[in-house]
Amino acid sequence: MKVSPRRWVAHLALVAAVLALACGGCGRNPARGRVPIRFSVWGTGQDFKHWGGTVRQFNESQRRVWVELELVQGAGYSNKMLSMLVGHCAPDVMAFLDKPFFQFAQYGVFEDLGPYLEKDQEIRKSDFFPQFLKAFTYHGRQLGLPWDGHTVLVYYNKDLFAREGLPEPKADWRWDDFVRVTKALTKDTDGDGRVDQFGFIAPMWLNELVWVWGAGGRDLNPEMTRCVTDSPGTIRGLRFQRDLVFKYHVCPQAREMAGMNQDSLFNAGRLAMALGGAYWMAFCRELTGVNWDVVMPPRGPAGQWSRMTTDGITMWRESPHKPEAWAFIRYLLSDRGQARIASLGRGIPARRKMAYSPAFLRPDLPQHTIRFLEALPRARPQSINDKTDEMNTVYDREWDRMLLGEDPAATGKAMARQINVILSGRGAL
Amino acid sequence: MRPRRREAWEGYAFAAPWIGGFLMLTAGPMLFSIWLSFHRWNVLQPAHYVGAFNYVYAAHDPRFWTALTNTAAYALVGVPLGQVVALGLAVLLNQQVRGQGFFRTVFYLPSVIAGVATAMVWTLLLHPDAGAVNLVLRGLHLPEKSMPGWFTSPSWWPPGAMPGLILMSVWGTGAAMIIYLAGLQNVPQDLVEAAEIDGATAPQRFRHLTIPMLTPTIFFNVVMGIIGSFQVFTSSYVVSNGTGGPADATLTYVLYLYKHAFEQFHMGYAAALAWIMFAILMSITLLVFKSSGRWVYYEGVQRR
Repeated sequence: MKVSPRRWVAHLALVAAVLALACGGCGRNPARGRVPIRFSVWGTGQDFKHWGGTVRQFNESQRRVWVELELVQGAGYSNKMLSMLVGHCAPDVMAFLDKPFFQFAQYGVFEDLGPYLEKDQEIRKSDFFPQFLKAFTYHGRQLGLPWDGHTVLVYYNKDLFAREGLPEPKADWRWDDFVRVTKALTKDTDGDGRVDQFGFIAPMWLNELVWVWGAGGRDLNPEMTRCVTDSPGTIRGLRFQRDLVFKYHVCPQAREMAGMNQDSLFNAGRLAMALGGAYWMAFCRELTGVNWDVVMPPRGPAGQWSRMTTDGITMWRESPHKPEAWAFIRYLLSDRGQARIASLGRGIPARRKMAYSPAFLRPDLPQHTIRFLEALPRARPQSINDKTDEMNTVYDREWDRMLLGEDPAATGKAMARQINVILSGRGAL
Repeated sequence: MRPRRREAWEGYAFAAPWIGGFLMLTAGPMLFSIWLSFHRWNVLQPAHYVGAFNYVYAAHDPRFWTALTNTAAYALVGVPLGQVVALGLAVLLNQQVRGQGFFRTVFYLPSVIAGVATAMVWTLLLHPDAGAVNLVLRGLHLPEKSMPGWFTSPSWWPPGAMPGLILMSVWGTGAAMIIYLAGLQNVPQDLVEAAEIDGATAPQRFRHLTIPMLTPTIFFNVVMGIIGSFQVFTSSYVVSNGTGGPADATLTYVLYLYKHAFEQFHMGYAAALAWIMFAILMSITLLVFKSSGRWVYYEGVQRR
């Protein structure tokens, strides 16, 4: 078929118009002329909103670097980071919790941020809470920097306390007081023989370490060379938790949760108290029908403890854009970045100045946010080393067994036996 | 070219896409995993040769035995139960009733639904307090002590996590059912009519005619069922949120392998676990094949 020149021109014009439309539709590329870097963090929709805002704020604040946010949903964050590190295509900046940080740090994939911090004029090492900084120190090197941290406190529903005529708990309360109020707050409200409102909930071993520490026990010895969960103190702490479920019946067993979890039970006003870190504050602040506050976990026979966790930021050692990656990290740790973290109520800002600012303490709200900071001197992290992930599998499994009825002494011994094998290196895989 | 030779070449030509795919995508990783099973490797650092350590470790690893026992129990109960249900459904769907096509689609539907979605639905259905199954049982005034705890309990009785997983697997027998249905439709009608004329009742015809004629289909479904049940992963992962709990009750073999490989980065041990499973499955399959001479009937083949 012969095509006339006029038809050729018409076809060309059409193709040109489509191309122009397609390119025009792309709009102006805001990253043009800037150095692009990638930043990954875990989270859900709410986190996307938070991190999207932070990244947008950074991108608007300067004209040299463009940050692309990579939010990984669900529990597969570490796996995804591992895959990308193996493929030498990891993000330039990666967020990590303290536990996986330690696991990855042993592989030598992180840049030492110590020299960057030393040269910085605005952000000083002494500004940080030393506990948070330590969580991202690996064999003396600053392979990550904390952006926020958390102490675990007892969140309580003030209205449920008031309804039972109970005074709100005070910072110096004890285990006996705790048992007394949880008993009073556990209720079968509709009289069908099943509990509808629980005094407390114990969903995870890690937070419940506060009872073990309160009883004078520990998970590992201070040198982290031996598991001591078979010590009398630890067993006493474990027994207290088991008693909350089986002796006092103030904690639901898994089968009594009726498809709900800590969040939904607290939101529904069916849970009087629960342990939660500062990270739980953002969720609780959004609850409309729950009047809540926080208090230090009660004092046990051997002391009063909170648990501490830290979130931090790392730089990929092979990043081709290290100065730009540092520019973003220092933005997160700057007054402006920390103020944003503070205002969201998702954790204690890692720098003292911002943690004690009204942006975090929120004097306009009825809750005593300051209590998260007051808990810091009495807060411990779980013993973290490069085998923590493996050890947590054992803790979780044996904890499960105890909450299904196993004797706490047997639980403590089973934990110690298995974890000592892991620590000895005999089972190094 | 001689016809036989030509036929062979044609056969290879038809199989070539699969052979090509196998050589390019599967054979390499398989060989690598054999090599890996004799090494300690965390993915990010160089691998170290450890000889047979990973295999010896498995023999002394209590969780390996727990995972293996759980999986064997799942297969031992789940495969026969699945076959009975699939055959029963196939017999029902083979009847000439109105809406036959609709019913066939409905019963096959669970097999095409994503495993995660199925597991999530069953997690809700089997919730001990709020699930539909226990609500029905409560309606029957079953004592509270005998109420199944399903995925919150490690027990077998009252039904706990493993019976729950088996129940879920039975729901997805659509694929086996379709194969049984095809097998039933291949039972020669002249034999059925001859048996009818000879006065055989329906149960007698089923026992002495249909079942023997179906044995090649049963054999195929049993082998596939055993292999499938040893590979169970999605359901145990979803119901336990990846932990294998409560108290390791849903820790199946592949879930355990996955946890070592992708949560703890023990790639060498995970590879060894994979090859141990291969050896176990191969042995079981060979046993079933060996036994087939005694119970599988092929039309036109003389039994020795």
